[in-house]
Amino acid sequence: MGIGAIMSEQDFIEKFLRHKVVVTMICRTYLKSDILAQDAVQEIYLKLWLQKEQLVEVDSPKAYVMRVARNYCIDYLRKEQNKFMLQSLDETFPPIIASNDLDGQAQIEQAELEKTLQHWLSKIKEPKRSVFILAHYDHLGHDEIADKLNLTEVNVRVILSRLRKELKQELTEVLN
Amino acid sequence: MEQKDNINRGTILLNKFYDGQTSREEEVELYVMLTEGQLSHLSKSDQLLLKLSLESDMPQTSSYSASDEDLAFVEQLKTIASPQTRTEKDNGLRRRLWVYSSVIAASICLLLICAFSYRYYAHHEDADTNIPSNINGKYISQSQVNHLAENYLSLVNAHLRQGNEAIEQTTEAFNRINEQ
Repeated sequence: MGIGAIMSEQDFIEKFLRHKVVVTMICRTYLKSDILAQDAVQEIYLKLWLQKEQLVEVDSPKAYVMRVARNYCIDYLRKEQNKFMLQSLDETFPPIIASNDLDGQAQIEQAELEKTLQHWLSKIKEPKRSVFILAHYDHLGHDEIADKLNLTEVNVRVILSRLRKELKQELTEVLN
Repeated sequence: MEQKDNINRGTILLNKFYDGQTSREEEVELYVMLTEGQLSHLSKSDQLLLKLSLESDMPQTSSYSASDEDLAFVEQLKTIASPQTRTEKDNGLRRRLWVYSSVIAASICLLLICAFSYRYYAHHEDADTNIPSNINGKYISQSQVNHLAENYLSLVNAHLRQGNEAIEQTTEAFNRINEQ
Protein backbone atom coordinates (compact mmCIF):
# COMPACT_ATOMS: atom_id res chain seq x y z
CA MET A 1 0.00 0.00 0.00
CA GLY A 2 1.36 3.39 -0.88
CA ILE A 3 1.22 6.75 0.81
CA GLY A 4 -2.31 8.04 1.24
CA ALA A 5 -3.77 4.52 1.33
CA ILE A 6 -6.54 3.94 3.85
CA MET A 7 -6.52 1.18 6.40
CA SER A 8 -9.97 -0.32 6.68
CA GLU A 9 -11.33 -1.89 9.84
CA GLN A 10 -10.93 -5.29 8.18
CA ASP A 11 -7.25 -4.58 7.37
CA PHE A 12 -6.67 -3.46 10.94
CA ILE A 13 -8.15 -6.69 12.28
CA GLU A 14 -6.30 -8.92 9.79
CA LYS A 15 -2.91 -7.30 10.16
CA PHE A 16 -2.77 -6.08 13.75
CA LEU A 17 -5.63 -7.31 15.89
CA ARG A 18 -5.02 -10.94 14.89
CA HIS A 19 -1.85 -10.76 17.00
CA LYS A 20 -3.76 -9.73 20.13
CA VAL A 21 -3.04 -13.09 21.77
CA VAL A 22 0.71 -12.75 21.45
CA VAL A 23 0.54 -9.08 22.48
CA THR A 24 -1.39 -10.12 25.60
CA MET A 25 1.23 -12.77 26.38
CA ILE A 26 4.08 -10.28 25.97
CA CYS A 27 2.33 -7.82 28.30
CA ARG A 28 1.63 -10.56 30.84
CA THR A 29 5.27 -11.68 30.74
CA TYR A 30 6.51 -8.15 31.40
CA LEU A 31 3.85 -6.88 33.78
CA LYS A 32 3.21 -10.17 35.64
CA SER A 33 -0.49 -9.37 36.08
CA ASP A 34 -3.51 -10.33 33.99
CA ILE A 35 -5.37 -7.12 34.83
CA LEU A 36 -2.43 -4.86 33.99
CA ALA A 37 -1.86 -6.85 30.81
CA GLN A 38 -5.50 -6.40 29.73
CA ASP A 39 -5.30 -2.67 30.32
CA ALA A 40 -2.01 -2.50 28.45
CA VAL A 41 -3.44 -4.41 25.47
CA GLN A 42 -6.39 -2.02 25.28
CA GLU A 43 -4.11 1.00 25.51
CA ILE A 44 -1.73 -0.37 22.86
CA TYR A 45 -4.52 -1.14 20.39
CA LEU A 46 -6.24 2.17 21.10
CA LYS A 47 -3.09 4.03 20.15
CA LEU A 48 -2.66 1.86 17.06
CA TRP A 49 -6.29 2.48 16.12
CA LEU A 50 -5.90 6.24 16.52
CA GLN A 51 -2.87 6.15 14.22
CA LYS A 52 -4.12 3.51 11.84
CA GLU A 53 -3.67 5.70 8.77
CA GLN A 54 0.09 5.66 9.38
CA LEU A 55 0.11 1.90 9.86
CA VAL A 56 -0.42 1.22 6.14
CA GLU A 57 3.31 1.90 5.77
CA VAL A 58 4.30 -0.87 8.19
CA ASP A 59 6.00 -3.72 6.31
CA SER A 60 5.92 -6.33 9.00
CA PRO A 61 2.81 -5.87 11.15
CA LYS A 62 3.51 -8.74 13.51
CA ALA A 63 7.06 -7.65 14.32
CA TYR A 64 5.83 -4.08 14.63
CA VAL A 65 2.99 -4.81 17.04
CA MET A 66 5.27 -7.04 19.15
CA ARG A 67 7.83 -4.25 19.36
CA VAL A 68 5.16 -1.71 20.31
CA ALA A 69 3.95 -4.06 23.08
CA ARG A 70 7.49 -4.44 24.40
CA ASN A 71 8.13 -0.69 24.32
CA TYR A 72 4.83 0.02 26.04
CA CYS A 73 5.55 -2.44 28.87
CA ILE A 74 9.12 -1.23 29.40
CA ASP A 75 7.88 2.34 29.49
CA TYR A 76 5.11 1.42 31.93
CA LEU A 77 7.56 -0.34 34.25
CA ARG A 78 9.99 2.58 34.06
CA LYS A 79 7.17 4.97 34.95
CA GLU A 80 6.17 2.81 37.91
CA GLN A 81 9.77 2.81 39.10
CA ASN A 82 10.01 6.60 38.81
CA LYS A 83 6.52 7.30 40.08
CA PHE A 84 7.70 9.65 42.78
CA MET A 85 10.24 11.44 40.67
CA LEU A 86 8.76 14.43 38.93
CA GLN A 87 8.94 13.95 35.18
CA SER A 88 7.26 15.69 32.33
CA LEU A 89 4.67 13.64 30.46
CA ASP A 90 6.58 14.15 27.22
CA GLU A 91 9.32 11.89 28.54
CA THR A 92 7.02 9.18 29.80
CA PHE A 93 4.76 8.87 26.74
CA PRO A 94 6.94 8.01 23.77
CA PRO A 95 5.32 8.07 20.34
CA ILE A 96 3.52 4.80 19.67
CA ILE A 97 5.10 4.55 16.23
CA ALA A 98 8.36 3.05 17.36
CA SER A 99 11.31 4.22 15.36
CA ASN A 100 13.02 1.51 13.43
CA ASP A 101 15.99 0.67 15.58
CA LEU A 102 17.90 -1.09 12.82
CA ASP A 103 20.47 0.79 10.79
CA GLY A 104 20.70 0.46 7.00
CA GLN A 105 23.08 -2.50 6.95
CA ALA A 106 21.13 -4.37 9.62
CA GLN A 107 17.90 -3.77 7.68
CA ILE A 108 19.43 -5.33 4.57
CA GLU A 109 20.62 -8.33 6.59
CA GLN A 110 17.20 -8.67 8.19
CA ALA A 111 15.52 -8.58 4.77
CA GLU A 112 17.93 -11.26 3.50
CA LEU A 113 17.15 -13.49 6.45
CA GLU A 114 13.42 -12.97 5.98
CA LYS A 115 13.89 -14.06 2.36
CA THR A 116 15.79 -17.15 3.52
CA LEU A 117 12.90 -18.02 5.82
CA GLN A 118 10.29 -17.52 3.07
CA HIS A 119 12.35 -19.57 0.62
CA TRP A 120 12.85 -22.35 3.15
CA LEU A 121 9.13 -22.33 3.96
CA SER A 122 8.18 -22.57 0.30
CA LYS A 123 10.11 -25.86 0.07
CA ILE A 124 8.31 -27.45 3.02
CA LYS A 125 5.44 -29.77 2.15
CA GLU A 126 1.99 -29.80 3.67
CA PRO A 127 0.88 -30.34 6.38
CA LYS A 128 4.30 -29.54 7.90
CA ARG A 129 4.29 -26.05 6.43
CA SER A 130 0.90 -25.28 7.96
CA VAL A 131 2.02 -26.67 11.32
CA PHE A 132 5.00 -24.32 11.30
CA ILE A 133 2.96 -21.26 10.30
CA LEU A 134 0.09 -21.95 12.69
CA ALA A 135 2.51 -22.46 15.58
CA HIS A 136 4.72 -19.45 14.94
CA TYR A 137 2.72 -16.88 13.05
CA ASP A 138 -0.73 -17.55 14.51
CA HIS A 139 0.56 -18.70 17.90
CA LEU A 140 -1.91 -21.54 18.12
CA GLY A 141 -1.44 -24.20 20.77
CA HIS A 142 -0.46 -27.73 19.79
CA ASP A 143 -3.98 -28.98 20.50
CA GLU A 144 -5.54 -26.32 18.26
CA ILE A 145 -3.12 -27.09 15.41
CA ALA A 146 -3.82 -30.81 15.77
CA ASP A 147 -7.59 -30.14 15.60
CA LYS A 148 -7.27 -27.87 12.61
CA LEU A 149 -5.06 -30.20 10.56
CA ASN A 150 -6.43 -33.55 11.75
CA LEU A 151 -3.17 -34.57 13.36
CA THR A 152 -2.32 -35.78 16.83
CA GLU A 153 -0.57 -33.49 19.30
CA VAL A 154 2.43 -35.83 19.23
CA ASN A 155 2.62 -35.43 15.42
CA VAL A 156 2.56 -31.66 15.83
CA ARG A 157 5.37 -31.72 18.37
CA VAL A 158 7.51 -34.03 16.22
CA ILE A 159 6.96 -31.92 13.09
CA LEU A 160 7.80 -28.71 14.94
CA SER A 161 10.93 -30.22 16.43
CA ARG A 162 12.22 -31.42 13.04
CA LEU A 163 11.40 -28.17 11.26
CA ARG A 164 13.05 -26.01 13.89
CA LYS A 165 16.23 -28.08 13.72
CA GLU A 166 16.15 -27.93 9.89
CA LEU A 167 15.71 -24.17 9.95
CA LYS A 168 18.59 -23.80 12.35
CA GLN A 169 20.76 -25.81 9.93
CA GLU A 170 19.65 -23.57 7.06
CA LEU A 171 20.42 -20.40 9.02
CA THR A 172 23.82 -21.72 10.11
CA GLU A 173 24.71 -22.33 6.44
CA VAL A 174 23.55 -18.82 5.47
CA LEU A 175 25.58 -17.27 8.27
CA ASN A 176 28.69 -19.21 7.27
CA MET B 1 23.05 -14.96 40.33
CA GLU B 2 20.06 -13.63 38.42
CA GLN B 3 22.09 -13.63 35.22
CA LYS B 4 23.03 -17.27 35.79
CA ASP B 5 19.38 -18.16 36.39
CA ASN B 6 18.42 -16.43 33.15
CA ILE B 7 21.09 -18.32 31.23
CA ASN B 8 19.88 -21.62 32.67
CA ARG B 9 16.23 -20.79 32.03
CA GLY B 10 17.03 -19.68 28.47
CA THR B 11 18.94 -22.87 27.74
CA ILE B 12 16.18 -25.08 29.15
CA LEU B 13 13.53 -23.26 27.14
CA LEU B 14 15.59 -23.40 23.95
CA ASN B 15 16.06 -27.16 24.30
CA LYS B 16 12.33 -27.55 24.83
CA PHE B 17 11.74 -25.33 21.79
CA TYR B 18 13.90 -27.58 19.58
CA ASP B 19 12.02 -30.60 20.93
CA GLY B 20 8.67 -29.00 20.03
CA GLN B 21 7.70 -29.06 23.70
CA THR B 22 7.31 -25.37 24.50
CA SER B 23 3.93 -23.88 25.29
CA ARG B 24 2.89 -20.59 23.69
CA GLU B 25 3.66 -18.77 26.94
CA GLU B 26 7.15 -20.25 27.07
CA GLU B 27 7.79 -19.22 23.47
CA VAL B 28 6.79 -15.65 24.32
CA GLU B 29 9.06 -15.84 27.38
CA LEU B 30 11.91 -16.85 25.06
CA TYR B 31 11.07 -13.94 22.78
CA VAL B 32 11.09 -11.51 25.70
CA MET B 33 14.40 -12.91 26.96
CA LEU B 34 15.83 -12.57 23.45
CA THR B 35 14.72 -8.95 23.03
CA GLU B 36 16.02 -8.09 26.51
CA GLY B 37 19.47 -9.44 25.59
CA GLN B 38 19.27 -12.28 28.10
CA LEU B 39 20.07 -14.91 25.46
CA SER B 40 23.33 -13.44 24.25
CA HIS B 41 25.09 -16.65 25.32
CA LEU B 42 23.27 -18.53 22.55
CA SER B 43 24.73 -18.98 19.07
CA LYS B 44 23.80 -16.45 16.40
CA SER B 45 21.80 -19.07 14.50
CA ASP B 46 19.76 -19.93 17.63
CA GLN B 47 19.00 -16.27 18.21
CA LEU B 48 18.06 -15.72 14.58
CA LEU B 49 15.88 -18.79 14.52
CA LEU B 50 13.90 -17.51 17.51
CA LYS B 51 13.62 -14.00 16.13
CA LEU B 52 12.60 -15.06 12.65
CA SER B 53 10.18 -17.77 13.65
CA LEU B 54 8.42 -15.73 16.33
CA GLU B 55 8.42 -12.30 14.71
CA SER B 56 8.27 -12.75 10.95
CA ASP B 57 5.22 -12.43 8.80
CA MET B 58 4.45 -15.67 7.01
CA PRO B 59 2.13 -16.68 4.19
CA GLN B 60 -1.26 -17.30 5.73
CA THR B 61 -2.62 -20.81 5.82
CA SER B 62 -6.16 -19.45 5.46
CA SER B 63 -7.69 -15.99 5.48
CA TYR B 64 -8.16 -14.66 8.99
CA SER B 65 -11.79 -14.33 9.90
CA ALA B 66 -12.56 -11.86 12.65
CA SER B 67 -14.16 -13.44 15.70
CA ASP B 68 -17.06 -11.88 17.59
CA GLU B 69 -14.53 -11.00 20.27
CA ASP B 70 -12.39 -9.11 17.70
CA LEU B 71 -15.41 -7.18 16.45
CA ALA B 72 -16.52 -6.32 19.99
CA PHE B 73 -12.98 -5.17 20.79
CA VAL B 74 -12.90 -2.90 17.74
CA GLU B 75 -16.29 -1.44 18.73
CA GLN B 76 -14.86 -0.78 22.19
CA LEU B 77 -11.84 0.96 20.64
CA LYS B 78 -14.12 3.09 18.48
CA THR B 79 -16.16 4.14 21.51
CA ILE B 80 -13.08 5.07 23.52
CA ALA B 81 -11.55 6.85 20.53
CA SER B 82 -14.70 8.84 19.74
CA PRO B 83 -14.27 12.61 20.31
CA GLN B 84 -17.23 12.66 22.73
CA THR B 85 -15.76 9.99 25.03
CA ARG B 86 -12.34 11.59 24.87
CA THR B 87 -13.77 15.03 25.71
CA GLU B 88 -15.68 13.56 28.65
CA LYS B 89 -12.52 11.84 29.82
CA ASP B 90 -10.48 15.04 29.44
CA ASN B 91 -13.14 17.03 31.30
CA GLY B 92 -13.08 14.47 34.11
CA LEU B 93 -9.29 14.77 34.34
CA ARG B 94 -9.52 18.55 34.24
CA ARG B 95 -12.10 18.54 37.06
CA ARG B 96 -9.91 16.26 39.14
CA LEU B 97 -6.87 18.46 38.54
CA TRP B 98 -8.85 21.52 39.65
CA VAL B 99 -9.96 19.75 42.82
CA TYR B 100 -6.39 18.64 43.62
CA SER B 101 -5.00 22.11 42.88
CA SER B 102 -7.63 23.77 45.09
CA VAL B 103 -7.00 21.36 47.97
CA ILE B 104 -3.24 21.95 47.78
CA ALA B 105 -3.65 25.74 47.56
CA ALA B 106 -6.00 25.70 50.58
CA SER B 107 -3.55 23.52 52.52
CA ILE B 108 -0.68 25.93 51.79
CA CYS B 109 -2.77 28.88 53.00
CA LEU B 110 -3.76 27.01 56.16
CA LEU B 111 -0.17 26.06 56.88
CA LEU B 112 1.03 29.61 56.37
CA ILE B 113 -1.66 30.87 58.77
CA CYS B 114 -0.64 28.22 61.32
CA ALA B 115 3.04 29.10 60.92
CA PHE B 116 2.44 32.83 61.39
CA SER B 117 0.12 32.25 64.34
CA TYR B 118 2.66 29.95 65.93
CA ARG B 119 5.47 32.45 65.50
CA TYR B 120 3.24 35.21 66.93
CA TYR B 121 2.33 33.19 70.04
CA ALA B 122 5.89 31.95 70.45
CA HIS B 123 7.05 35.56 70.82
CA HIS B 124 4.11 36.59 73.04
CA GLU B 125 3.87 33.51 75.20
CA ASP B 126 2.18 33.74 78.53
CA ALA B 127 4.05 32.12 81.38
CA ASP B 128 0.82 30.51 82.73
CA THR B 129 0.14 28.62 79.51
CA ASN B 130 3.73 27.45 78.96
CA ILE B 131 3.50 23.63 78.99
CA PRO B 132 6.91 21.86 79.09
CA SER B 133 7.76 19.92 75.88
CA ASN B 134 9.90 16.83 75.53
CA ILE B 135 11.26 14.37 72.97
CA ASN B 136 11.39 10.74 74.08
CA GLY B 137 10.94 11.87 77.69
CA LYS B 138 13.82 14.37 77.50
CA TYR B 139 12.89 17.97 78.20
CA ILE B 140 13.49 20.46 75.36
CA SER B 141 13.36 24.20 75.63
CA GLN B 142 10.66 26.33 74.03
CA SER B 143 13.19 27.80 71.58
CA GLN B 144 14.09 24.28 70.43
CA VAL B 145 10.38 23.47 70.05
CA ASN B 146 9.89 26.60 67.97
CA HIS B 147 12.91 25.79 65.84
CA LEU B 148 11.78 22.19 65.17
CA ALA B 149 8.21 23.23 64.42
CA GLU B 150 9.42 25.84 61.98
CA ASN B 151 11.64 23.31 60.23
CA TYR B 152 8.83 20.78 59.87
CA LEU B 153 6.37 23.36 58.65
CA SER B 154 8.87 24.59 56.07
CA LEU B 155 9.39 21.00 54.92
CA VAL B 156 5.64 20.40 54.54
CA ASN B 157 5.31 23.71 52.76
CA ALA B 158 8.12 22.82 50.33
CA HIS B 159 6.51 19.45 49.53
CA LEU B 160 3.12 21.03 48.97
CA ARG B 161 4.67 23.59 46.64
CA GLN B 162 6.41 20.77 44.78
CA GLY B 163 3.07 18.94 44.46
CA ASN B 164 1.43 22.08 43.17
CA GLU B 165 4.17 22.55 40.57
CA ALA B 166 3.74 18.94 39.45
CA ILE B 167 0.01 19.50 39.02
CA GLU B 168 0.66 22.63 37.00
CA GLN B 169 3.06 20.70 34.75
CA THR B 170 0.48 17.93 34.34
CA THR B 171 -2.20 20.46 33.42
CA GLU B 172 0.10 22.03 30.85
CA ALA B 173 0.89 18.60 29.39
CA PHE B 174 -2.83 17.75 29.13
CA ASN B 175 -3.43 21.05 27.41
CA ARG B 176 -0.68 20.25 24.93
CA ILE B 177 -2.16 16.79 24.31
CA ASN B 178 -5.60 18.31 23.73
CA GLU B 179 -4.18 20.87 21.32
CA GLN B 180 -2.47 18.16 19.21
